[in-house]
Amino acid sequence: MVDLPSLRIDLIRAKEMHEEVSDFLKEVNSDYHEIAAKTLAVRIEMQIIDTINKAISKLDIISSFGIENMPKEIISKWIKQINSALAYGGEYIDLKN
Amino acid sequence: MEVNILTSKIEERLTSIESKLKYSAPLLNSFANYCRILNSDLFLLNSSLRDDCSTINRIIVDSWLCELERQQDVNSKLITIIGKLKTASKMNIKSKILEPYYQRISEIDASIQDGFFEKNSTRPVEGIISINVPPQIEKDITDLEIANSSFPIDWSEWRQRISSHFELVNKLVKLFPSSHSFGSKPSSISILLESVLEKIKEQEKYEKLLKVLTENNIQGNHNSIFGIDILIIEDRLKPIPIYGDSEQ
Repeated sequence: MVDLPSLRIDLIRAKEMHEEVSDFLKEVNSDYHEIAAKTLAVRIEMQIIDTINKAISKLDIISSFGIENMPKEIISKWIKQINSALAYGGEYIDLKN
Repeated sequence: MEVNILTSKIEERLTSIESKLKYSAPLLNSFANYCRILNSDLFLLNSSLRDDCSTINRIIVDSWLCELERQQDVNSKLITIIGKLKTASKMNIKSKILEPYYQRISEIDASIQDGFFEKNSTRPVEGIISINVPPQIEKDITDLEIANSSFPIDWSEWRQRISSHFELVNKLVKLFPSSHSFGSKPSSISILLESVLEKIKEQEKYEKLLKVLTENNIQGNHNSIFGIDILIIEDRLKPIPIYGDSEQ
């Protein structure tokens, strides 16, 4: 049994955390770090935040469509992608501590 | 005097057999028509799904249709024989030539005398439907015949059509005992129809999901996110079975 609401909460938390990191990196303006930081921010946006956004869109489709109404092949593929988005981008890092 | 009593009893028996034969004739016809409708739907599904279940199901339905047509033939021959025997009996003709014909109807007579017809007994005899068929089943067959005049336009409608077949065949499974010559056919058809129904339900899911993914949403970004999925779904989605000239 897949807990869709809890998956969604985890994804949104991960997205917010990575957006925070990306925003922080974009604001770096020291001559020595600026290019590296902005490159890293773009990488985070494209490889992590974008993947999480796609996972959230898929989760929303599954929720509105009903998991039982999804074709077996597609649902197993999407659940794998959602779990993968959580595994590679979903670990919560507390920046304040 | 004794001869007259015997003649009148024979006539009574012949009338009773004739009424059972005449009760069975439209039912056999109705079942045969139903098999033709089911076979036509399975033919269309098979040409679209190209799966083993609908292929085997077509073979079984076809075999049941052959059996029904054979029984219709027996029924019609027996009705003719009964008619001739009644005429001979009325004219008091007692010839040895008639004996084989009396032997042919003796099995049906024995079954009727056993009282199977009134009590839903399970002693099947060639040429008659050896059970009381509930009027609901005849109504269901007629409904499907009417429905067959319109064409399902998507997989959702095909699911409804095959679900109706499945429900009707399940009723027939309960109706015909295993000792009946139809015995295993409705149950085999039911098992295979269930598998076909599962495949149709999956197609219906692909069809609905594709519609959701391809229609413009507020953000308008579905194609960029679901592009590959749309291609996969389009690949898995079989063409909707349609009626062509050859099937009409």
